[in-house]
Amino acid sequence: MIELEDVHFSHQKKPILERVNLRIGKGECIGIMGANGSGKTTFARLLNGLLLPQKGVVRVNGKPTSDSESLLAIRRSVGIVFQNPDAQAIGETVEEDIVFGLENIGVPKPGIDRRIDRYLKMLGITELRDRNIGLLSGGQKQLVNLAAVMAMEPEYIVLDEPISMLDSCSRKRVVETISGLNRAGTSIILITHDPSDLVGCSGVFTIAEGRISQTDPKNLLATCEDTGFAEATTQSEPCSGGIEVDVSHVYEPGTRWAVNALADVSLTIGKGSVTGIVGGIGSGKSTLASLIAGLDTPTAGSISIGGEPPEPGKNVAILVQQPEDFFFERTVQKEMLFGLKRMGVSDGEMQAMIHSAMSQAGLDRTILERSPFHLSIGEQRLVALASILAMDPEYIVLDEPTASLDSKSRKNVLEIIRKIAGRTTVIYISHRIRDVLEISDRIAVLKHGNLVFTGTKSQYLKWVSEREGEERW
Amino acid sequence: MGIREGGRGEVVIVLTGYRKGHSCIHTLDPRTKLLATAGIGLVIYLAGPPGLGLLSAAVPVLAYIAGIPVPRLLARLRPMLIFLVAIFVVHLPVEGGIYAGMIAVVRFALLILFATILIHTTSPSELNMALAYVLRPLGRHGTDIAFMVRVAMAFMPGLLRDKETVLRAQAARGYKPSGLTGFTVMMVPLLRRSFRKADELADAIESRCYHRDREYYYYSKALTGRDLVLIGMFVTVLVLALVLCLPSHVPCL
Repeated sequence: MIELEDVHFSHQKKPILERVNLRIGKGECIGIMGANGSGKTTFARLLNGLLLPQKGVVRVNGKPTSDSESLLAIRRSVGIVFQNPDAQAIGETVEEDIVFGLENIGVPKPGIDRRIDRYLKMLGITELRDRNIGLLSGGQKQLVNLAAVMAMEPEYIVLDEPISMLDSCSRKRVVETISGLNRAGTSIILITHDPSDLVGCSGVFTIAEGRISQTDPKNLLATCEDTGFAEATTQSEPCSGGIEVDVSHVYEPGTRWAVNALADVSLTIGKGSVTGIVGGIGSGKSTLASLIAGLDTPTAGSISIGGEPPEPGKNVAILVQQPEDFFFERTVQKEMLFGLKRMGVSDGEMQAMIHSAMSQAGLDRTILERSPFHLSIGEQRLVALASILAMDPEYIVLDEPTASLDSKSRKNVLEIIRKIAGRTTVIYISHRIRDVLEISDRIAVLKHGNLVFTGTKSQYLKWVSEREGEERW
Repeated sequence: MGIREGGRGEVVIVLTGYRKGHSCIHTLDPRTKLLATAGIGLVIYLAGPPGLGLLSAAVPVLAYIAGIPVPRLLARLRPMLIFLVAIFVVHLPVEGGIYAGMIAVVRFALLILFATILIHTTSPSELNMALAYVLRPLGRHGTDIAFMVRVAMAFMPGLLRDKETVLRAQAARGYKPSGLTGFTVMMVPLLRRSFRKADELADAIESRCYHRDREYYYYSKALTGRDLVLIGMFVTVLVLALVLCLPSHVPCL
């Protein structure tokens, strides 16, 4: 059993968790929810002694995490899969990464082989065994991290938003695998933004303002359905001056590392429309985003935006994944000026453009003098979006703009996209089909680098229903 | 520094360029390969023109056996070109400098090429195991050093990849690199990402129960007859080189 007794944790004198009391029994599955920055990750790190409570005690199977002699046994009992798939790989290949943990706990060599086979198969990634982790997509890396922790067969597995990078098919497989492990006796502590992942959890807890409280899972699921699969009521026809895509793209062509990222993808994106591009992990979504935004040049074919080749910052703008990672200025105002200064507009115009973008993004002007690093992740994402909107692009590519955001921040971002649609052509890339259906006029589906569907929302829903039970992505 | 590879939607850089293979060099014990490479390093230092010629001829042969395309192997010298030129230039003022400079450049290039063959045919885990074995006399410090090398190897490709990612993200906002003007544009996000990732990697390592008394056994192999013959050959060449060359302080092979 994991017991948290009157646990307090502060960071730089700011309380993160206060008077947290919780017991997680063997074989339980509990969900932990909370807004960005509410203390969910701190909670996860307290469970295996990566962080120690400043007051109170955390015990795992009766052993306090503050006891350094028991720490190894505690970590053997409590495995954590962290959120960032890029920062957990210790080996160069998938196999090496899994072997690392198993050697640490002394699993005999034949046992290591057996566990690697079993868990890779369970997660449907057997073919990745000898692949270099650096060459995998974000979603594939996350499945590898999951396999590496699962293979250590801990009694408790803490999953800190481990499926945020996964498409709906992989997500379903992971949720099923986790449920299977839970039925076999492993306790699961699942931290997520998405209540639909928590089906099967016996208890759901919410962390807010440092306190943890139990929530009725039924209420959460009702909220989740709200955003639903609304049918398209309007269908915009492609009009002149849009984007013409006709490309193939190979990484490292002519070498043994060549990867066919996109094969003969032809797509017309109407001016003023919102086009959602969806696909599974490694389907080529981000490659297509980079090509449309002019960050890469296709190995074959071409892209034209209003008849011109794409030029980032001029005729097309892109909001890259996790854009807040690229802030570097001391104030929000300076951060927003960075792109504008390169457009050669006057100071007065720049201020007007910033204020217009701030109001489009629903941000208060007082935020302009604050450091971008001291904002919440939701505010940071809006600032990043506003700094792109300030450049008044006619065409904008949004690459997973709602990834890692809680539901409130996600709704804010979607609302802004709705507002700018019509005047701005939006290419919206996401693995969250629910969001895509909510805001897109047209949808394109990529599968293994091939364009397998383009059409309106109603055509997409028909296409999906015709393929019931098939692997769509 | 690394080989640039294509990923799905992002530029991926792999530091070592290792790919699993089944050549007789791939299947040699990593300890043998590590010791042999160290031994070759010493021979390179002691060898004169005939010996260096022989070693140069061995490079394409070993590359062929290991299945590494020679142009790809030679491409590893490209980032070092400036050092090779510098090594040559510093020898010029001395009498017979052109000859001495050429010898020094060949020695440095051979060192890089043999090291490349080693890391192209030995996985980081195997290298780590070999290093931990060789450093065993240092006790826990040896284990620490071997693990630090491994963590650095795991971290470096990500760091290089992040540099590309930051560059692309800033380019999306109209940034064009020019001289030192973009120093903060690149460095602030890069350092923030790196420090955060270093923290996260440390958490992942601790969470997966790393401890200093761990054993490296999954990739360990028993030394075979082939390994022993190879080690014997290297020891013989080394002893000969040392006996013949050291007393006269001149290259002799």
